[in-house]
Amino acid sequence: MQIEWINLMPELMIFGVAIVVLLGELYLSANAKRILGVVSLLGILAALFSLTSLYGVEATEFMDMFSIDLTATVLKGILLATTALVVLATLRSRMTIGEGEFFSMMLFSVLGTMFMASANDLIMLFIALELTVLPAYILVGSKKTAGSAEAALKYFLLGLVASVILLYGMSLVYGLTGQTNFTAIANALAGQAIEPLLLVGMVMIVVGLGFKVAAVPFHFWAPDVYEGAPVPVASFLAVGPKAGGFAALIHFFPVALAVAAPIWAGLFAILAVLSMLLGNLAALAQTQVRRLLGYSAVAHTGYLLVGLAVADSFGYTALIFYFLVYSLAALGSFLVILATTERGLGENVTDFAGLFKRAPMLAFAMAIFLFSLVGIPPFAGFMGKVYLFGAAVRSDLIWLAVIGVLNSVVSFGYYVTVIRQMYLVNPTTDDAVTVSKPLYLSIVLIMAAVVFLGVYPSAFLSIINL
Amino acid sequence: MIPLSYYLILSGVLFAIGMAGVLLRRNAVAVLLSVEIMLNSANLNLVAFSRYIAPEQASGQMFALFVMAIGAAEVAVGLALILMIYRNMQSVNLDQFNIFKW
Repeated sequence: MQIEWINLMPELMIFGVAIVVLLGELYLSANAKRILGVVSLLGILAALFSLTSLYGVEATEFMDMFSIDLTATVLKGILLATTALVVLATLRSRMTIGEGEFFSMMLFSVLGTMFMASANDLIMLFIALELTVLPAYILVGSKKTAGSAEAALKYFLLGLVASVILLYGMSLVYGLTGQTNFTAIANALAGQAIEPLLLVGMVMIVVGLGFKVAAVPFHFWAPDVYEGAPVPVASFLAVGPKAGGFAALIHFFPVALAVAAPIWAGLFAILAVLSMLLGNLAALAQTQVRRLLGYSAVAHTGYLLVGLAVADSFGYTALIFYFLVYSLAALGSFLVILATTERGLGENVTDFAGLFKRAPMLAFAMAIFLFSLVGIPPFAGFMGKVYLFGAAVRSDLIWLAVIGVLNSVVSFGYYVTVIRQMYLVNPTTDDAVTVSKPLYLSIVLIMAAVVFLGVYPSAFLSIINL
Repeated sequence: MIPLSYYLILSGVLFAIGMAGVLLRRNAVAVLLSVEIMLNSANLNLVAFSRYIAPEQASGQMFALFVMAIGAAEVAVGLALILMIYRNMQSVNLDQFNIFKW
């Protein structure tokens, strides 16, 4: 068996940097540890660079367990780019744990997500998923407050149960086919009647992965974790592990369970509607900004699942594009919260009162990110929703598109309360809110990307061949 | 030879016992233990299927080995997390973690 190591270069780089950073935490002096963030950033950028050479490469490694294809490469690119922005933004942050620990845990989680994006085998998928979430549990619990402890405990226990349900579902699928490879499973199932046991296994896999992407009714942990985790961690969680969940959904269901496509597409349509409705309605009642964004994340999982309910290549490409757009806007708004909380501001919606006067740039950036989340032109969120709901209409799921659009209108109701506070309410003090340079740079880069993708989406769409 | 269905029934029962423990126990460590029972029920499934459905390949048994390793990692992280939480909160009773409502 010949392994083309060059095809695994991005993963190897991330792995190497994660080890180096972890050892650095152990052996470097407190002052020297400050370079660990820069080392991580350079490592991620190098991995991103080596990933570009894999563009267009179609190959499988490790006896078909690991597939390199366009979807996987693009998802890894999105993941690495957003993680680089998180690392850049947190370079000067005050950490709740050692810098080396923070960055290496993040890198290990990213490594797991990259393997998840490329997994072509049940065993690989399960191991990659655990590698993604185990460091995330540690990161969420890394602050010694009651909120962080509660968030970590809920995230850990619910995540564990979800993993086990997923594993049980996988074992049933394995039992019916005798195969663990996705393609081999599809071949074994082809032309056969759908057995009840396969349905049970499939539903269990949907439940397990539904937990990971926080789809209603498996979303309980999401708002708690987004609110309770330390802010840098929450901003990472908004992009990292979620990418893995969607990568697994896009890879597993269309390939391995192609035979049952109408059934799982229907399941995802139901989950999509529930997530959109409940996420948006619950967000309307929130007064804490991070919790509000947590429910908004649940609602966005609903929008993204529309792409899976469509169940054709248009749906998947629209899903990937919307995922990029969403993760940029969500990450951006979390980074604005990071900037304000680092200067001692609270996290209630009313604490954002008059931010426009205290930090015009932050308020402007936050407004753009929230408008993009609603889907107002000319920002990226609008184009993302156009393609996503366009894909739904194309496959005669007009009702799903209508529900999606109506939900976007509802979501305007809670995003606008934040914008109103920032621009129309007078601040209690006029002290300027200063932002550290790397964080500022990161927010500006995201803002530029959100506007650019909104005006010129084909820049990205030509990469994924839509 | 014992029929395959016996193994499947046993694994189903173990899964149900574990799930009941997760839903009913209020101590975080007990919940962790219940999840381990569920994990092993899935393992039993994998090994039994490997023996009966695809005996020429050992992929199910290999899967079970990996799951055991991952289970150990999960317990390590979980117990460390619970220990840290106990040090900070003096409790691992799930009912006392109720700051976040809905």
